Amino acid sequence: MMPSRMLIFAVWVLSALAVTGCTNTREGVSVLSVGKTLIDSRRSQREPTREIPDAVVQREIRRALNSSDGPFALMRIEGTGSVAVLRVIETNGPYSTWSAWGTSERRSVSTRGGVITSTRGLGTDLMSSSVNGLLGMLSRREDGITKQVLRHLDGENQIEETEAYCAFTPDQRQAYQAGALALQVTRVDVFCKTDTGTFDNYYLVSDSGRIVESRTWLGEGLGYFVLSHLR
Amino acid sequence: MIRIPTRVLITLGLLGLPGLAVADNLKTRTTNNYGTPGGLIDMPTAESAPDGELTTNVTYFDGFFRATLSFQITDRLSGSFRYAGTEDLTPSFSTYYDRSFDLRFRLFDETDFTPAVSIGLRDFVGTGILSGEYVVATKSIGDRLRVTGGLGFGRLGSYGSDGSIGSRAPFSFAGVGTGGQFNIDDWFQGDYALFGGASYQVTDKLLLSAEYSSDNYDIAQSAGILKRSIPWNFAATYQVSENTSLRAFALHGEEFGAALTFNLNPRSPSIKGGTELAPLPVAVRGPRSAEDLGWTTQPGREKAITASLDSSLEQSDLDFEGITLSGRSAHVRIRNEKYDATSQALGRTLRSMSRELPASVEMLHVTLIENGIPASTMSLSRTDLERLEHRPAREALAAAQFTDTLRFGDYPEPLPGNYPRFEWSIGPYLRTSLFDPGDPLRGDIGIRAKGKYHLGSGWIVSGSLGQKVIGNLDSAVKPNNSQLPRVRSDVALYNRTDEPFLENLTVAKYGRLGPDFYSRVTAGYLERMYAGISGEVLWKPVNSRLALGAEVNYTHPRDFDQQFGLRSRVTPGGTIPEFNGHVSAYYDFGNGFHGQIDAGRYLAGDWGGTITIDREFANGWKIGAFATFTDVSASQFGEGSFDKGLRFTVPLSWLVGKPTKQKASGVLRPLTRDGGQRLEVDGRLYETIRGSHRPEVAKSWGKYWR
Repeated sequence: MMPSRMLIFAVWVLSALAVTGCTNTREGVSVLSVGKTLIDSRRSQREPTREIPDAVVQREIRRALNSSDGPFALMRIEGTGSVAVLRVIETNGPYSTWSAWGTSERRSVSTRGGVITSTRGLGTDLMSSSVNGLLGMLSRREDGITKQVLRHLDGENQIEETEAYCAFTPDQRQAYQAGALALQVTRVDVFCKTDTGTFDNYYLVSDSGRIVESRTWLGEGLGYFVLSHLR
Repeated sequence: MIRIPTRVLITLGLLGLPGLAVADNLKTRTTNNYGTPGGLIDMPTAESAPDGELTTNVTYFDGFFRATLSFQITDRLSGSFRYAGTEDLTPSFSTYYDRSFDLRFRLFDETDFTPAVSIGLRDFVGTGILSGEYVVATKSIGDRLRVTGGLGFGRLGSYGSDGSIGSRAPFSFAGVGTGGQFNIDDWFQGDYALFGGASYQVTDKLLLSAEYSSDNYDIAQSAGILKRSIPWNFAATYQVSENTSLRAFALHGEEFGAALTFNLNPRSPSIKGGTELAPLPVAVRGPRSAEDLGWTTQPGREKAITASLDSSLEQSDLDFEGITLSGRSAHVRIRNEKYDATSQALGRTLRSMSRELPASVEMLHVTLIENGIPASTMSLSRTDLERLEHRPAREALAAAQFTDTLRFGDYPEPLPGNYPRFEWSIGPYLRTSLFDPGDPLRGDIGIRAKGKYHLGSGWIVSGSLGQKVIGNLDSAVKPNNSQLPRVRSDVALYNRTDEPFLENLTVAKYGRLGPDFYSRVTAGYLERMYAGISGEVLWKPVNSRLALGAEVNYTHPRDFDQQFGLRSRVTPGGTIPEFNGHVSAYYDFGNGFHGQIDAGRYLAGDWGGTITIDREFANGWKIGAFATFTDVSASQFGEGSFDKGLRFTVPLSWLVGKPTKQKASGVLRPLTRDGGQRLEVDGRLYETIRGSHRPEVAKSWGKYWR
């Protein structure tokens, strides 16, 4: 008796949820798209990170730099292996919003002082961050502790704040070369602790105080992003 | 390897940063054989499921079947609905089916030295074959072992009784009667007995349990369908996947069985925050550019702005309906058919406005249109929009103002092209009939076409046509013995048609009677069983959590074939009255709970009231229960004694991780009789406009900048 009953029940749930076949309204989400989402999420769990050859990346960087005089940056998402050359699409005071160069794909990250403060369109987005203390600490390149706040949406679309206490440790000086930039920088290692875990960021800061590269943890879902400025 | 100076480490230590361990008040995602949260087998524990958790448990052992849906209503309170079938329990039925409700409350939390204590009622309404009450304590010892001891009454006090308090009516099939009564006089009365057990988490996936059971299975033993050699039960539960667990158990040294549990938490969507593409960023005006009003004198400029704003909103899948523009302010009206979080539609509209409007425009107003009428207007200064883009979302909420649109003298008229407008959809439908003793699960699957013609200014013609493809709803042959006018109990006759049927065909007019007042008149074939006219008025200020409404309906029963004909009001149980209607109060408690009270005259002419309580999650999930008490006596009502049930709403966005206003809703009634039944008319006012009002928009405000 059991298996057939169970099957009917499963079908009942699925059919009850899959409400529309096709429609001319914006409301419509079809049965197929529900299935596709589930399959996609399964697949993304299995998919290994992609390796993009450095030669391809360097060629894209050169093409981007030749296309305009504006600022460019290279973003690597450690979890997925994705790499993108970004350009600034809008600025708001100290904040810049970046999007992939050469496409009209609507995904973006925003930065302040060269550090990612929010993302949009990437899933489990970082909605906003408080990085005042962090930027002050990096500009002085000193030892010390400061608080950083990351804000995400929780499962009920409420803003969930993650407070991290971060310890800053300036490390050795090194050479930085990326795109049109070649300069001496100081590496600052940052170890952060939250209620539930820890993460390790680093920043490369030039002598004039500009953050030219950062590896920052953006939350459970997004993981680590490396942003390298190219100009 | 990162070097951290000792000084820094010491400081981190001194800050007293919270560690990993957090008291979890004995949380569990396992359920016992009665489908309630807990790690034992037949016996309850003081454990709780995580807040909001929904579990479905199916347990089977030789001739015994139980399916239970449990919901952790609050952190401390949980409720369960169970459908149980027992073969050969009584000669009257080959399988005896029974519905039951449980409630359980955690009185005390666990501390370092004292256990958590819960009090519970099992099968507390209804015929009481499973009835039992208990007080139970559970203590964790280390991370893996949990030990439970308790005192049970009723079935939970039926073996090895340690004493007795007062008296308790014994269960008998003859006394089943109409069921549905609260047997309050029997709670914590009669024989009581001690029970206990322990569960041990061997690995992350494997849980072992053992218990001493105080349930004697009296009725089953006397029917000769179960033997009880020892009072001990044992189980092994294996976590198959994150949300599925499988259990094997041994009962009383005689029976072996299996159980399957599915867990789901409305607070855990497929993707937090959604996967929709990025919004347009705010375009910040240049310094002093706001002073330039030259554009107001340029011919054709306003038309160009309207066109560019239209295409910008189109990119966000929002429908631009109209605009009034002056040198310093702009008022836009939109239709949001996509974003279930209204805040997201508002945020995207405002950002489009920042990109398309001339710099001198400082005040931004957005009016949300629902069913052709203005539902609310949100206002924000452009300076605030620019200033707050990268700030925490709550700051933008504090700066936003919600106003009734009617308080603006000149809100925009719809642009040509918006009305008339035709919408259609075609899709499958599923209709079920649950808990019929002949076959507890019946259903029809068919195809349904819907059309909606928006004529403008709140006039809407809509219809829905269905055709059954396959199913067995028509095979129900339950005799109808209702003593009331048969307003719903003839459902089997409506299910018999194999022809195309008209679910509804109506013309509706939505309107605004004045600030805070909304109106609706719907006429035609209102629902599958009734035609007529339905009129409604609602009072709901945009910033209020309280709403009051009144509805009057003139109804006539439709033919069973659900085409255009009507049938006589006279039924074997009495004449179906012409008029019914209610006054209603709706209140959002603001803590995740929503209450509704309706009082008035029901379809069968009975007078009374319905109380509904919903747990509402900000992502759109709703799980609620309702009960209706009218002047119909329990014996007149028949089996079940009064109308009651559970209701659910599942937002599809939760499942697909993309914004959509589509949702699946359902009502689960143990029984449908004729007392306490309401007309089902589409597009009632409260649900139409509520999503545009501040309390509801504020709930999911986090999506404003998404």
